[in-house]
Amino acid sequence: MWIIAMAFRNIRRNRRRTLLAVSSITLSVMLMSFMYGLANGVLQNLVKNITKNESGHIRITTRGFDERARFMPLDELVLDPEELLSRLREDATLSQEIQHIAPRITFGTLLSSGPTTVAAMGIAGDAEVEQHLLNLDRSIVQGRYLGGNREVILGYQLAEKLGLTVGDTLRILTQGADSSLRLRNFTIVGLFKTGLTQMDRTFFQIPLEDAREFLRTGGGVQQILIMLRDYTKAPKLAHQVAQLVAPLQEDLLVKPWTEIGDYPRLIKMMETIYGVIYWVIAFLGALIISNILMMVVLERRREIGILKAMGLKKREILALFISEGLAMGIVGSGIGALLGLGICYLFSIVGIDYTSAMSGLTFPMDPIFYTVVSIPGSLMMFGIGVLVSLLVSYLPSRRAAQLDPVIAIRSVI
Amino acid sequence: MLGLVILLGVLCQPYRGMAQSLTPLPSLTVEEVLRRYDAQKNIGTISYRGQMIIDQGRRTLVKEMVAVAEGSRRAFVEFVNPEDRGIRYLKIDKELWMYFPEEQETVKIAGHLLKEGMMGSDFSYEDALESETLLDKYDARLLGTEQVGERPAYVVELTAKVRNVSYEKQKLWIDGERFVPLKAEMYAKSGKLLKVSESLKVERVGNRWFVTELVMRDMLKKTAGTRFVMQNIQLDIKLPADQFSLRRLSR
Repeated sequence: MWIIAMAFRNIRRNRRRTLLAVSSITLSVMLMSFMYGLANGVLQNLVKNITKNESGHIRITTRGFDERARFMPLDELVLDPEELLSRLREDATLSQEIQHIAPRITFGTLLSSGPTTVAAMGIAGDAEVEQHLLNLDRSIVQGRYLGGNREVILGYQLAEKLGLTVGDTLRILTQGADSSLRLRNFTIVGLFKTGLTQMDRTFFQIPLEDAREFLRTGGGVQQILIMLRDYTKAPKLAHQVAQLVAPLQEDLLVKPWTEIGDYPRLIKMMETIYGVIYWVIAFLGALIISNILMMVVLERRREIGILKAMGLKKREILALFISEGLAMGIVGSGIGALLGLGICYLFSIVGIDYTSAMSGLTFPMDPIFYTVVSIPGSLMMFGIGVLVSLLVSYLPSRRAAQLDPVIAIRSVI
Repeated sequence: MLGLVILLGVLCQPYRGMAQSLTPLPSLTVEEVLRRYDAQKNIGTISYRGQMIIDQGRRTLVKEMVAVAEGSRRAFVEFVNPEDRGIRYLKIDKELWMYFPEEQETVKIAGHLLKEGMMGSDFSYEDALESETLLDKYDARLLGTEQVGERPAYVVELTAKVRNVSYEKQKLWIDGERFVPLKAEMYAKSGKLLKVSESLKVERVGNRWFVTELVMRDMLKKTAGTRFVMQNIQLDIKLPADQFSLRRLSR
């Protein structure tokens, strides 16, 4: 106990040196906490948009569709979606876990209006269910959401490019499931603005029934997206769903979102990169602390020599300096974690606006990034700060403990 | 179908009596072979009932149509099978229109749409618009003669000499007596084989020979292709003055 008391006294003795060390630790831990909140916010943003717009938490398609998904083939269909939905809803286990089930057809087409031709992507789904996935009803900036057949809503940028507005007719001429040319006119009832460039510039939504009819899918759909109450259960539940639907159609494939497309791999890569960034920041902080503590040992050589001459053992010298480093680490990490949490809270409300930077990008991310407030995360950063402080205190402390008292007393700085 | 109505111009030949098979063919220049081949497009007016059986791998579609044409320049086709009833095509020279009865709208088929298969078949809209003489667009080389089934044929290799062609290279097996194509291979510039057409039946109507059954296969797909059958062929029919008009197309 007296070593700890002595350590605190020594810390208070040279306030400037102590402040320098503590503020370095505070800065490092604060940055790490903020980075953690921001990184989690970015990843959640990406996962949310991928799953609700593209893959669902679990996706049911044919194997052929999965292999050629980027071409959105209309000849790869789940043939009896009604029966499949009925089985999912009737299953006692799955019905508790499933929040929404969305049958969908997506197709690429060229939309023309006068001299302008624009590449666009159509999403046909159950309008009511899609209010929970695409959420385009919440993004309507002009007109209204879909209410009946032969109606369409489109991204406001897409409408602008085509020179169309609410009340106009959108003519869709595209290849149907039988590879023949199909034409249908839709009335534009609303324009949406999501903030996602990809959506606003390229997408339009029509009722599923219209798509099945005019694209001649024979009642089939390309995909059935399942949204779960807990998306982390997707891999396990996908397996259950696969067993349930297998008897209905031979070539069905059920996948959790973690196995669909390139984005899950991207997310994993981003998690790794963020992990590296945390450790780099921690290392830089550790480097500073280590240098400061080394400087402390050099400055106090005579004092150490006198302490040793007075009878302090090596392990007591070691314990003394480690205690000083640990104390500064605890104080600095605590303040840093609190500050980091506070900054995360601020930006979880205000957000960081990248709208202009992302305006040209077609990436499934909301352009305003919100940090995630995580007390466990801040505690983790606090723990890392303390641990690093402890580790980097050891070498200088060991050096101090090994000094020859006679040489140390004679040394002049 | 429409494209095949035009192909008909290529595929028919005035009847010259029963030809002997397996007899050596007269030595003609490639220009003479192609001149006789191209001459078949002058058929006056024609009407027929056609059927397309389209193999799409997982399913087979059957399309039925009635068609009228005047030479290789103008043609009018209307589909009569239940799923496509009322869909019409009008070709005038190098322009093509399609009428959609549900929307009561006419669309001009142009640009990238020309590469699409007509009604989901292996015949593209570009195939349908082919009407110029081969010698105008291709450099030709006579490779020799071959037997195709029981028919002797001139084998002609064509290489594009102008830009706006559907196929950079073609190889034709032309019946040595009737001057209808028995077989054709269409190639891309890279040499990749794109399509193969084979005549399955050749019949005499009036004083002309017609390919009344043919199969076209898109070699980029793993399907059996599209089989086209012609029936009830009538020549030199009287047509209304507005037969080949947009007004009639959308009536």
